[in-house]
Amino acid sequence: MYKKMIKTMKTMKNFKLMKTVFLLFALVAFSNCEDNEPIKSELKTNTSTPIAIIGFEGQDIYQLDNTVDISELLATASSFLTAEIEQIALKLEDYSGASIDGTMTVRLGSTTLFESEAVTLTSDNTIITIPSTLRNILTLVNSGEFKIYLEGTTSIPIEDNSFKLIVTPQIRTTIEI
Amino acid sequence: MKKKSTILFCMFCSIMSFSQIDLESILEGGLEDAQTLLKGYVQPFAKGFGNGINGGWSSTAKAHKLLGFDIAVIANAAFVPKSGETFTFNNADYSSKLQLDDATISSAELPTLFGSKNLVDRPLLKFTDSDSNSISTSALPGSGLKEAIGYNIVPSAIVQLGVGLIKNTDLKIRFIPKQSTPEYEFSTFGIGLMHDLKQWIPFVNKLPFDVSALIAVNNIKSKFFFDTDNNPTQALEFNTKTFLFQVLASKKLSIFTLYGGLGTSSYNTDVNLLGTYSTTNNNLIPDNPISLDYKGSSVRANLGLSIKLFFLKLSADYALQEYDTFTVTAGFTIR
Repeated sequence: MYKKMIKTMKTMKNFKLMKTVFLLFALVAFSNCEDNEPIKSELKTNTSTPIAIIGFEGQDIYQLDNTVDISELLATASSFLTAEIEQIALKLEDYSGASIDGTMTVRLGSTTLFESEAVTLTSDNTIITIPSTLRNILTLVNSGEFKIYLEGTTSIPIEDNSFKLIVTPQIRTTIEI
Repeated sequence: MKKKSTILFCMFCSIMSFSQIDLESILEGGLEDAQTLLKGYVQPFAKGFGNGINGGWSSTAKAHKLLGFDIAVIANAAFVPKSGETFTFNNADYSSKLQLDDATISSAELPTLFGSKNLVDRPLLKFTDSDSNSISTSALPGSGLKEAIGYNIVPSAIVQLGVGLIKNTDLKIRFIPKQSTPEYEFSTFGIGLMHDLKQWIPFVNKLPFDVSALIAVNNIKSKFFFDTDNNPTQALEFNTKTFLFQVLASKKLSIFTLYGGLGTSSYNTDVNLLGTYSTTNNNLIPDNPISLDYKGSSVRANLGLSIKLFFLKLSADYALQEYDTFTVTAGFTIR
């Protein structure tokens, strides 16, 4: 998961030369006030990851997982002060039916973000807001990688043997640079 | 001379240094958006430098006697006003790739280079790629200079030579020949003429004070190279042309001289990113990708005091203009 986010980060890293240039443009620290204090910035990502769902036709229960290496994300900052997952958007792609109704449980690492939540998956994004008490994923982010688990039940059996579930988590971090 | 000019150059460029700020994401919005964003962000520096460097041309309205001369080191501090601490980000001025993250607003005030570096003062900017993925980052931080020293100033410094010609006319020269090192190139040339007006006006020429007209232009060119070994074309270019016209008046009181002037000050500054750039993703970046141009003019009125002790002359004045400027000079004057 988050491969595209990582790709985005890679692209950003590829601008390092330009970054240097922009730092020059910034002319930021006058010699008499350089304090080397880290500057905080917020970073919010909405990066979709397609998860292929193959061989589930006729089933009314599913389990999916995806391991994410976020070392490149970590490379963009010296440290993360906060990391929260605010919401997850879900939508179907290339699904032959109209929708999938049912319940879903999503876990990130050992944290259950929501459990047996009633959801209707369609080709449009369904947004699930994460309760504020469960948003903190700082440990997970700082660990360098994390796994996302999706479990669900459907009210009627899945009608397609090969489609994609597009998962777009919204992650907000505070970094020091 | 070379040593002096090198010191001056170092003073000039000491205002520049690298920070720890991660600004890579600016380019995610594309070069046009980056240019628009940077233009607002850098603007107070360009304005401040353009206004500041016009200071110190004269600390008296009295011209030298023939072949009398003075040489002075001039230091200027242009004050960035409150309005220069932020610039307005309008969604309409940018492509859909770069917008404010908060969809409920269409514009917001962002810090300039001289603005706040606090997180609460820096709204999120949203960069969206062709796959509709987005990443939002806090707007660029300011330098925090005001918090550090209490003022937002743009410093500048220069050396000036003045020589008395005929008919109570002074020629003023600001000249540093091209200085080249692997890291930078720098040169400046400025010329000014100050002519005594009072001598041509009957009756007025008997009054106990001096009145002159001053016209001056200045041209500063600089380049800062990033990697001369591997990418010799890559550089940041910073050029400023200024123009000044003032009517000056001064009154000598013992060792003191009270002086002032009224006129106009203008500048034209360009900041260019030169060279060829590429990314490992082979993203297309045109040569010389960034070009920022700043122009401005304003009425300039200044008032100052100088003191002359034998050949030593010190002065300080304050100029009201687009960006008010405080100037001090120190030097020697003969005849």
